[in-house]
Amino acid sequence: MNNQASGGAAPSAAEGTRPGKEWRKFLLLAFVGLPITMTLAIAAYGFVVWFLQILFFGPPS
Amino acid sequence: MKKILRSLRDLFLKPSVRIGLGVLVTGGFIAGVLAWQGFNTAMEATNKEEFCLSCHTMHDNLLPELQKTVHWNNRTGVRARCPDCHVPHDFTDKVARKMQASREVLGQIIGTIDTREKFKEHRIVLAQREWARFSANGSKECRACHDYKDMNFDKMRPASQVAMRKAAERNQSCVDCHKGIAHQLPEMKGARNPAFDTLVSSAAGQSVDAGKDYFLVVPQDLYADEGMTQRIGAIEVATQVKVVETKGDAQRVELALWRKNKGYGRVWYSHFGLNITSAVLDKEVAQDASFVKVLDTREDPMTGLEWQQVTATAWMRKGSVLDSVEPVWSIARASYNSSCSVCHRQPEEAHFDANTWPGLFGGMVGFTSMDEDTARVVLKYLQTHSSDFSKSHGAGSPDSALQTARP
Repeated sequence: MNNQASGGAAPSAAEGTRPGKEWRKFLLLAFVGLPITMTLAIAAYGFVVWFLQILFFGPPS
Repeated sequence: MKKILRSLRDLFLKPSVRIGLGVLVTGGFIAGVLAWQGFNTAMEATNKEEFCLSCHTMHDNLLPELQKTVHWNNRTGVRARCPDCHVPHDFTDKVARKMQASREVLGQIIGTIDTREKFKEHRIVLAQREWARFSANGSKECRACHDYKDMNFDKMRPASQVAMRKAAERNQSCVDCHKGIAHQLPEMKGARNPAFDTLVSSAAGQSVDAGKDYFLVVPQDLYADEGMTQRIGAIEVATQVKVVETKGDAQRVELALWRKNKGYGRVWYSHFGLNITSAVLDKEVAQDASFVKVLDTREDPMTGLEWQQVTATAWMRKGSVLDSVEPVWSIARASYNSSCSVCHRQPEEAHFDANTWPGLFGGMVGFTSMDEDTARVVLKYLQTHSSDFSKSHGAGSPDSALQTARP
């Protein structure tokens, strides 16, 4: 998730493909980044539905 | 910012060089399973009774009330827990309700209802919110356990049968009748009927001429002086007054009413012999002959009581009268029709006389969600449209028969 991996137009193979780095990125994304995104998205969905209920629909029927 | 975007793009679009596709997909799959399971576990944790009761507002106020009811403890051992009734069971509504709870969390933090007193005062607001939810979804949560289609009406008590069969026919929301089934009912003191707001705003725009008659749209305090410092009593809604003069914020009105010549004569009525309360004065003032002028004295043959026709002038806040009483009655009529027909067919106004209505109404109003102001208007509406005033409907007309809850 940080940006030093590929510095510029010509990717430097030595930096970007170190196995440790790739694994770390993968694990962070799969087990931290995406679950948090999912929770936030569901919360946002809940808020949107709630506000729509306040403004337009009224309580669910 | 640009750098972050680029690294994100690289993260998603650049193929990985050292880790195999299968490993990535499998890892993602496992992560997804764990994340979803974790989410559901967390959702379930917030749906546990222990979670609700972990905040002291719930624990101190609502738990002891619930513990007195059949939903806590009964012979079959089936129990309703907080979320069974108060959290929608469908995903979307549930998530929306959970987010709505952010308001409750905020309330807990800033202490909106952190004492029993504050809670009781605020309860009507909370209750009305929950009642609105239940009436919109037809008490869906109640009916997860108690559905009309699964009821055996023949096993009910006869009185219940009548009410329940009708309710099932209309697919009525349970809380229409069963308010306060698991918690105490709120005091109706803080409740407001929004219909009055329009009335008050039209009264604010009413031009008032001295010497003409007007009707109160809201109850008002009466004062002896135009500065409105010395309170001498209160005047009821829909009472007819003659405006004498207007000075600043104050208005001087003349009351021409009746009272019983018994006790202090504090309560004034609109008509001879009928207990339709129009004003209530303080004791000293009601006895003050320089304030109250007695015009006429008559004996009520029904009770043997002596009634006096009295008149007095007093000050009150201006902007609360209308030249017609009809808008007040239309609010009362709407409220009467909607609140009473929830449980039974409401009797015709003229089915009872003005002195019978208060007792009947007082016995029934507790079953409705009318606030205090509305209840007073409705009672007055019923009294002034009772058989004492109506010529067309006699008390015995078949149309006006009161339907009782018996087969």
